[in-house]
Amino acid sequence: MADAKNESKPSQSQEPQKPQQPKKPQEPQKPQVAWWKRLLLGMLSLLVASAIWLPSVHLFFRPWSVPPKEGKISRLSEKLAARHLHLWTDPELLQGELDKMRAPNPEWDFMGRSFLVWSLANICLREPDRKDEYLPVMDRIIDETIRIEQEKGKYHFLMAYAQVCPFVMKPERSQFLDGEIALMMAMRRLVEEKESYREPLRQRVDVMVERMETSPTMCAESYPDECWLFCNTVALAAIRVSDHLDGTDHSDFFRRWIETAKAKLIDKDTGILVSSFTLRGTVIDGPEGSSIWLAAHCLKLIDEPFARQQYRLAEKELARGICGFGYAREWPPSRQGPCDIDSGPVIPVLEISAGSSGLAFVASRSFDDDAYFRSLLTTLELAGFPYEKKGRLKYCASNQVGDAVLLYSTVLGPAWAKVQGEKQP
Amino acid sequence: MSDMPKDWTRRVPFLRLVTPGGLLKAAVTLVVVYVVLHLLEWREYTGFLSGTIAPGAAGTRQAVMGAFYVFAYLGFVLAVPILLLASGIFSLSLRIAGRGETTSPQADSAPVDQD
Repeated sequence: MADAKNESKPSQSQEPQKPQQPKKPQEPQKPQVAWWKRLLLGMLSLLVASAIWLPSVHLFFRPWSVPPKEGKISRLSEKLAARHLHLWTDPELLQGELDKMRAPNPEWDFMGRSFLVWSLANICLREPDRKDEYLPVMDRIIDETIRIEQEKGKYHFLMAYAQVCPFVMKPERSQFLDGEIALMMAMRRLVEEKESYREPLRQRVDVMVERMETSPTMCAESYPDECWLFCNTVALAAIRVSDHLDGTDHSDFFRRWIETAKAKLIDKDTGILVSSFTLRGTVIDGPEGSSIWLAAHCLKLIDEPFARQQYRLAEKELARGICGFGYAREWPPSRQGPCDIDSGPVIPVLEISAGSSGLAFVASRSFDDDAYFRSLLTTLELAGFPYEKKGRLKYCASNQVGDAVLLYSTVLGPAWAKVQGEKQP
Repeated sequence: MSDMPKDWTRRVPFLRLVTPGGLLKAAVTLVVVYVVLHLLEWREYTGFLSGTIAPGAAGTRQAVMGAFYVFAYLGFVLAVPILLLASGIFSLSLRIAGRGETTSPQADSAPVDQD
């Protein structure tokens, strides 16, 4: 049959017999396929194999379950927390990690502390047995952060451009520092009262409220004439937790803040709160994933329906997925911004932002969006480069602040629930 | 085409790869590269993905090592399974296609399961 087909091809049958043919006596036994057909079949095989593998690959990275929202923490949270505790008990290791982060962005040094303290507070609320181990670490981080702020000044944790011009509001303060330090102290007290934090927390809350009240946008500066939604919503959360702890009432202030934000800080195209603006409300950066995800989580304590609406809008504009892997864009499709330290490196075409995707973990968990949260975890397992040693887990593609944000996303819930007066897990 | 040497396809590296055995070899190469870089713990240097790079020349060098690791890892996770699957599919399709082809070598043909 093969011979008969060969005869039907003139180009092949007319070819003269070559003398070297007898050198390979075994080859004539094998069926021959024309090179172009072989090439075509090869390409088709690769295409078919890709079509089989690429849509299935996420199944190998997809977590079996998402960390529980109540009760004991997951194994993932435990391993992440263990690594952070190890860092804070090994000064040399910690310094190396902080140096790596401070080089591109001194803010990360500060935020890594905040997210870790907030995480440990939630863990302690879930598992009170861990208080003996975690509370001293939380206290150490808070005390050291306040000491650095007092000794080295606010610029130590701010990016260099903070010193280019003076702050508008006097005396000069950064809402970035005030809000996160206040929330650290408040979360610590939420776990167990600590008298020495009561007065410093009250003072910071009073200062923040006073400055926010005098601002046309009801937001205080984080950088000179630069107000950030991220920092001001963290401040709101700190004030709300402080109300819960000390019996104060800022509900009228919160109501007016929400009204002002709806009137002055909403992006008209997307309906999402903008990320940065001047004291007078001139928009600097429009909606950004690196701001709105955490802002929505914090606003949940102030006005849950509004926060949920913001999450839904952000999810529509920024949450994406491909072949089972979830990620987040930094900017909505209708608006492009510059790739900066907040967005992190942005992968072109898909517009995957490391900064936005990291904080999307927090928001998706906070608003019970398990499908999106799980798809983000799937991506993390593929592209985060997990590295586990002696029960301590870190993600090599990330850094200490990234891992702290991730830890926070896997344990959050009890603190907000306690403040909102919901049933304790 | 008749004036080309009959084994010209073997001299083109890309075409030489397009055999089931060639795909298998490519997969094994990617596995070996990944395993070597993994054992060297270059995974530690992938922090550049989050913009976390140690200051100075050491940081730049580590970022380059991290980039190599990322490519090797993606090759291992994405390309290796595709190559293995493709090798099997290719081998099967060549057998089917080969049933209707000649058993003697020709200028523009190659043995079915030849590397």
